[in-house]
Amino acid sequence: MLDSILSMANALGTASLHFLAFKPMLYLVAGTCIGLLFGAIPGLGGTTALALLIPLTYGMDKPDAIMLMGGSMAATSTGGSVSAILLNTPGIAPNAATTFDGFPLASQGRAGEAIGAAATASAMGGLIGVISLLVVIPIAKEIVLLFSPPEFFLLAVFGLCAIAVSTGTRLLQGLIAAIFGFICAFVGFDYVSGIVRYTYGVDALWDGIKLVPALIGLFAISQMIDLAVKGGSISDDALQVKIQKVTDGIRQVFRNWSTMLVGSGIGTFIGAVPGVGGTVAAFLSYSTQVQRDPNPDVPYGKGNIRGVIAPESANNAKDGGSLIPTLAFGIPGSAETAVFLGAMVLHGLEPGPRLLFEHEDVVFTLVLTLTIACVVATLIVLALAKPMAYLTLVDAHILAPTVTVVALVGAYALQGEFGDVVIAMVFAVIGYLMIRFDYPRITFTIALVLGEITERSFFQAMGISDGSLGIFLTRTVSLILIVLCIATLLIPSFRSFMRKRKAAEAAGGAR
Amino acid sequence: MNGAPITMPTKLGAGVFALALAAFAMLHLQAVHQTILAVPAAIGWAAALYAVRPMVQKEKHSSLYFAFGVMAFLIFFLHETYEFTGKVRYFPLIVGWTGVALSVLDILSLTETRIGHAIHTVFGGKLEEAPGEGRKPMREIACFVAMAMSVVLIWLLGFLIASPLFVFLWMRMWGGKTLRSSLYGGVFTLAFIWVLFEWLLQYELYRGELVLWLMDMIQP
Repeated sequence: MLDSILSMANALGTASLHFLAFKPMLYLVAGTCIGLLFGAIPGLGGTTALALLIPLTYGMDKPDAIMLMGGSMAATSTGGSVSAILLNTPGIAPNAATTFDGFPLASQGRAGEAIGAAATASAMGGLIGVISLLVVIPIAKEIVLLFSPPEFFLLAVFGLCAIAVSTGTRLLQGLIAAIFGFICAFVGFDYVSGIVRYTYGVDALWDGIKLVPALIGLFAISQMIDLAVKGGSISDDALQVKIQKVTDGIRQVFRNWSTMLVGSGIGTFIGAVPGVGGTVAAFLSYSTQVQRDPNPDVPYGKGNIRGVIAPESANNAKDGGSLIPTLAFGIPGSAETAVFLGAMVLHGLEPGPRLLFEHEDVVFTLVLTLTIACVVATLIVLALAKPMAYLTLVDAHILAPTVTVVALVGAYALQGEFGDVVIAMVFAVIGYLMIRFDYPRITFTIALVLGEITERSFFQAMGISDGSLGIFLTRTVSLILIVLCIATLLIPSFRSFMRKRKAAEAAGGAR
Repeated sequence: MNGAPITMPTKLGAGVFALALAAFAMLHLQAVHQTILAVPAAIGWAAALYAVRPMVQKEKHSSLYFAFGVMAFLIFFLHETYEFTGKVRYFPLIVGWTGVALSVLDILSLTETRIGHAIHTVFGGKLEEAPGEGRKPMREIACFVAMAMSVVLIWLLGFLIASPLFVFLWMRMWGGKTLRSSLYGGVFTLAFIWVLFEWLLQYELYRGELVLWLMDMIQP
C-alpha cells in the first residue's frame, strides 16, 4: 500500500512538472477555449471538438496532447451552459436540463446570475469528479487484477448493453447501431486467424477502418450536413441579454452547497457507468433536486437558481467519473471518452490495466489537466459569455462548408493518406443517415471501438477453456457481469410495461 | 391488426415471403453455396417489404425503407461472411444473425399491429416521428452531392486550392452570400488551414492529382 502511495506521489510530481512550462499550459488553455466554443455551439459538442483535435495532436508529445484534449473535454459542458441559459438551446445534450430554470432566469434579466452559478457549479462539479477519479485510481488497480479475458469480453458486452439502454426509447435502434459498429470493426486484418476480412481489395482497409477519420465523419461532418439540410443558423433568436450580477451566481452555489454536492455525487456515479453519460446524470440530478425541495421559494421551471446548479454540477462531475472505466478497463464511458480513448491509442497509450501500472504520470497529467481546465473554463465563461453566445447565430452556409473542409484536412493530416478523406466522407453520410432516421451514433461508436477487444477477448477466453462457453458461468465476476447485462436490458422494458399497465388500470378505473 | 383489415398486397407478400423462407431453409439444409441462398433471401426481402408497407403509416415510409435497407445490408454481410470458414466467421456470424433478428423487430415496430405495439412495450421501438422526417429529399441529395464534390475537388486540386474554392462556391451558390463575403469566407478558410496545418504543425497537405500533373508538365 505504501509503495502504491509513493508511486502515486512520484507520478503526481512528474505530472505537475508539465504544468510549470509555458507551451503545455498554452495547449491547455487553447484546448479549454476550443472546448468552450464547441460546447457553446449546439450540434457540435465535445465529441466533434475532440475528433477535430486528434489530428492536430499527432506530432505532439503525449503530455501536450493530453493537455490539449483534456482541456477541451473538461470545458465542453461549461460552454454548453452558456447557450442553454441565453438561448434556451442546450449546447450539448447534458445541458438540456439547465434550460429548465436557466432560460427563465435569463428572461427575467438574471442571465449573469445564472451564468455565474452555472460556471461555478460546473467548476465545483468537475473538481469533485476529478477528486473521485483520484481516490478510485489506487483501488482500480486491485479491481482490474480480477479481470481476465472472459470478464473483459463480458464487460464490453455490458458496456454496450448499458449504452444501448441509455438511448432511452431507442433501445432497438441503439442495438442495431451497435451491430453496425461491430461490422465496421471486423474490417481488416483479423488478429485471431491472421486473415484479412471485408476489404474488397482496398489496401487502405487492411489495418481496419481507422477510428479518427471515421469519427470525424460520423460526428463533425454529419452534423454539418444536418445543419446545411435544415438551413438557417444554429439559433435564430436575436441576442439581447445583459450579462450582469455574475458574482451573485457564484455566491448562490456556495449558499446552496448541498445541491452542488448531491449533483456532483450523482454525476460522478453515473459517469462511471459505461455509456449512461452526462445527459442522464444532469436530468437525474435535476429531478433529485426537485424531489429534495418540495416547497421551493421560486417554483422549479420558473427560474430557481438551484435548478441550474444541480444539473451543471452533475454534468461536469461525470467527466471524472467516466474516465474511471475508460482508464481502468479501456471501456469508454461516453462517445466523448471513446474519441479520447482513440486519441490515447494513437499516442501509444492503451487504456486499460497496463496504463495504470506503466503510465501513472500520464493518468495524473490528465487528472491535473481536468482540474485546471475546470477552473480556467469557468474564468473564461465569466469573462466572455456574451461574445461566445453570438457564435450560435452564425449562418449554416458559412459554418457547414468551413467546418467540413477543416474536418477533411484533419482526417487527411493524421497519416497523410487520401483514403482517410474518403473514409471520413463515407462515415459522414452514415452519420447523417443515423441522425435522419434516429439511430444513436453513440452505440455505433462504442461498438466500433470495442469490436476488436470483444472478439479478441472472446477467443482468448475460448482458448483458456478449450472452447467451453462454461468459462463465462463459472467465475464470480463473469456471473455478476452476466446478471448486470440481463438486468440492464430488462429494466427499461419492465418499467415501460409497468407504466403501460398503470395507465391501462387508470383508464379502466376512469370508465 | 387491431381490427384493421389485412389487405391483398399484405396477403400476397406474406405468401411469397413464406415460400422464399421455405426455399431458403431447404437450400440451407442442402449446404448449397451462399450465392444461391441469396436468391430466395432477395425474393423474401422484396416480398416482406411489399407485405409490410400497407401496415405502416405513410409518414413513416421513409423510416421503413431505411430499415429494409439496413436489413438488405445485413443479409449482404452474412453472404460475405459465409465465404470464410472456422474462427474467422464465428463472431461476424453471431453479430450478423443478431442484426437480422433486431432488424426484423425494428421493421415490425413500425407497423400498426399488435406485434408492433408489443415491441414498443418491450424495446421502446421507434419514436412516433424520427427527427429527420419531413425534410426535403432534394435538399439532402444536393447536400450529399456538394459533400462528394468537396472530395473530388480535393483529389483534383489539393487542399490549399479546393478548400477555399469549396467554401466560396458553397457560400455564393447555395448560401446566396455576396461575392465579397464569399471571398472572405474562402480566404479565411485558406488562411486558417495554411497557418494551422502547413505553418504551425508543419504538415505537407495533399496537393491534388491535377496540380501534381501540371507541375510535372511544367518541371519534368
